[in-house]
Amino acid sequence: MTDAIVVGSGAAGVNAAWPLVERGLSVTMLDYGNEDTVYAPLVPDRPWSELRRGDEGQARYFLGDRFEGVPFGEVRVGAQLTPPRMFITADTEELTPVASDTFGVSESLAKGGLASGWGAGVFPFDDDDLTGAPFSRGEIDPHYEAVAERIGVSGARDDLLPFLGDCEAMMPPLELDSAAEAVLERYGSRREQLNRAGFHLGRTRLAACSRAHRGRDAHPYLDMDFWSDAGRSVYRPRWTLDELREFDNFRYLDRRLVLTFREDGEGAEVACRLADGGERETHRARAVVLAAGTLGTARIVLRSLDRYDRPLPVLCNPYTYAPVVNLGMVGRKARDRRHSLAQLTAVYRPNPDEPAVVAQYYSYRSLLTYKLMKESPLGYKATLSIMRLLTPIFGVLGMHHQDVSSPAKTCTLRRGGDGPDKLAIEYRPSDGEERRHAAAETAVLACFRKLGCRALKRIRPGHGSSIHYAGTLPYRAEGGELTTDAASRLHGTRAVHVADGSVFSPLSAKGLTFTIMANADRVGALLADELG
Amino acid sequence: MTEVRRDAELEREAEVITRYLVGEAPGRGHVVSYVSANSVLFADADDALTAFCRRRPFWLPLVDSGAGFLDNACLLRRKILLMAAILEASTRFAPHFLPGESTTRLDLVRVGVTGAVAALRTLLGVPLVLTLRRSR
Ligand SMILES: Cc1cc2nc3c(=O)[nH]c(=O)nc-3n(C[C@H](O)[C@H](O)[C@H](O)COP(=O)(O)OP(=O)(O)OC[C@H]3O[C@@H](n4cnc5c(N)ncnc54)[C@H](O)[C@@H]3O)c2cc1C
Repeated sequence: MTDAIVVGSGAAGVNAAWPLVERGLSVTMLDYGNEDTVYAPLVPDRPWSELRRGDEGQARYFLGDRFEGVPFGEVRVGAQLTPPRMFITADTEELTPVASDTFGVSESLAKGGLASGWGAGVFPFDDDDLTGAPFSRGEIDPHYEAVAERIGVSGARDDLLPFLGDCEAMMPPLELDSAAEAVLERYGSRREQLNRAGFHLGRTRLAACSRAHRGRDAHPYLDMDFWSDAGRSVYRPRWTLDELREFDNFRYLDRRLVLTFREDGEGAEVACRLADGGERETHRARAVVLAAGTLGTARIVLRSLDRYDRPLPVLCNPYTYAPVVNLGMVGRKARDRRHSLAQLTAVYRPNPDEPAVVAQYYSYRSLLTYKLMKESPLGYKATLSIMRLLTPIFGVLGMHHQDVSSPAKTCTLRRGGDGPDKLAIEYRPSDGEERRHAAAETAVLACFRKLGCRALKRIRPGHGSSIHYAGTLPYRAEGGELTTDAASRLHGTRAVHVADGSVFSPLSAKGLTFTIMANADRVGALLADELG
Repeated sequence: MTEVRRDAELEREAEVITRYLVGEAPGRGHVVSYVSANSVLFADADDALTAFCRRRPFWLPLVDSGAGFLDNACLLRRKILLMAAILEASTRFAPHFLPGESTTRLDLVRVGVTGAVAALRTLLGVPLVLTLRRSR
């Protein structure tokens, strides 16, 4: 019998599998495993500006063969999910449907999951952020280090160090672009005043290599990060999956939709349906690690335990973004060489009693001009002229807030009848929460104004838009149905462990994926000890 | 309406919108893309504003401006945006969309003037759009 089955090949799955495989245990990874076979080979490894002027085939990957890159809906999330990234969310509407009027969902059935297109922002949690978790920062630190080495993290030891902590495995930071340099320069001369107000700014820590690492290249600065994976510099869970597949004791089985688990005397049985043909198949192992993404895992657990119509809490960082003009860039030449990921990160925490707000500064260019034109109420010809003039000084500030559970934020599995089960999501933050978020955003934007960045407007893309889902099966020392214990074991089971975002509640404003990965590494290591 | 006539109208639209956005005629490839995108994205839909602008391209700047204010996501606006996307993702027209290396103070003045003219167009365009909608 296999030692462990891991469900899912995303950030959680591959990092939970790693310590098990490394310790010689036999691991089978079950995954739906969609891939992009169309666009990736079409995108040349050349700078964005050169492609725009010279590549006759660009329309295929910029717009998509079915024009799927030209979005017209109300939904403003996922602009980063360009045609070459759309395999990430493929098939989910049909196979993992969601019913909600209040919450937008992006789930993944892809090899590598959502992190095949993530922004690669790495934010280690401090003890405050880990409230509710069964470990402290000191206890998770070795796993942060292990994961940082595995995935390649670059960053600086700057004003964010007190919020992020140090990391021995960290590579030097990626180069800043000209616009971020201008902001950071201004910050240098206003640092004391801003720090007193609770505002700290530094370079974004990124899961991207600034030098060659584990067969991956140093970042090539092509400004194509939303379209391709040049040099495999930016971390995708597929890179770890490729490494895992070199071990004889690891088996990757894709094209399987996992439906349920069932425990028996010796371990557990996992039932899945083959994507091609639809036959059922079962797999047995001594232990199961669920890493199907917070919502995917909730589905599997609720179905397996027959807890239909039983609401689970759900969390997702409230998110607002603001297009800004960076006046510090007026008259300055913008360098062509750049990456497209977040350049700078700010932590705003005016006093220890209030939760932090985390803001990220991006320069806007490679997502193309027409996407910005869409937001303008002016005639499009004038808008185009204005956008071209302003793009060198144009930026986007994304702001994330903490989230806490409440009876008004739930997900419930409903029986699908003839079709697949549906996850019904209700998400209604209180008026108090909404007011606090708005006030904190005003304060953050005021700090950025001091750095020369004027917000043109504030856009709330809707609940769920941060795509940071968590809190469905939270850690609880006292136990309780549909919770997890300190070893991430699902309450009432012996052999079923949860390794993704499901366990974190409350949810810090910092992006949680690096912590998901470190915790998955911890869960895998604990399980390896147990299975011995 | 026959498919041939519909395609001819879409081809005309592609031409009118391209001239409006970049001041030149589109290439055959751009037109073909526009026609097929219309069937994929809009199921070949048509409306009063689009039909009017197809017949009288002179008024497109005003209608676009008025529609932007009244109904930013109306069919005509989406069609213009689609054509912009097609033009932007082509080597021939990319230079019309690529940003400069820097934004100067003079550029900010230009932005102000362009914005003021655009606002004026909106003022004139709003009654025109309302009239066209009513006359439908
Ligand atoms: C555009 C974008 C930008 C982001 N940027 C950041 C960022 O900068 N920083 C940050 O911290 N986070 C970011 N995130 C969030 C981050 O991507 C997710 O938190 C993270 O990828 C979740 O990983 P996961 O492994 O838990 O789940 P997922 O990525 O959802 O992976 C789920 C895996 O399980 C498989 N699966 C699911 N259900 C089944 C089933 N029933 N049967 C078989 N297989 C199944 C899928 O195929 C997939 O492999 C971003 C997300 C997006 C979309």
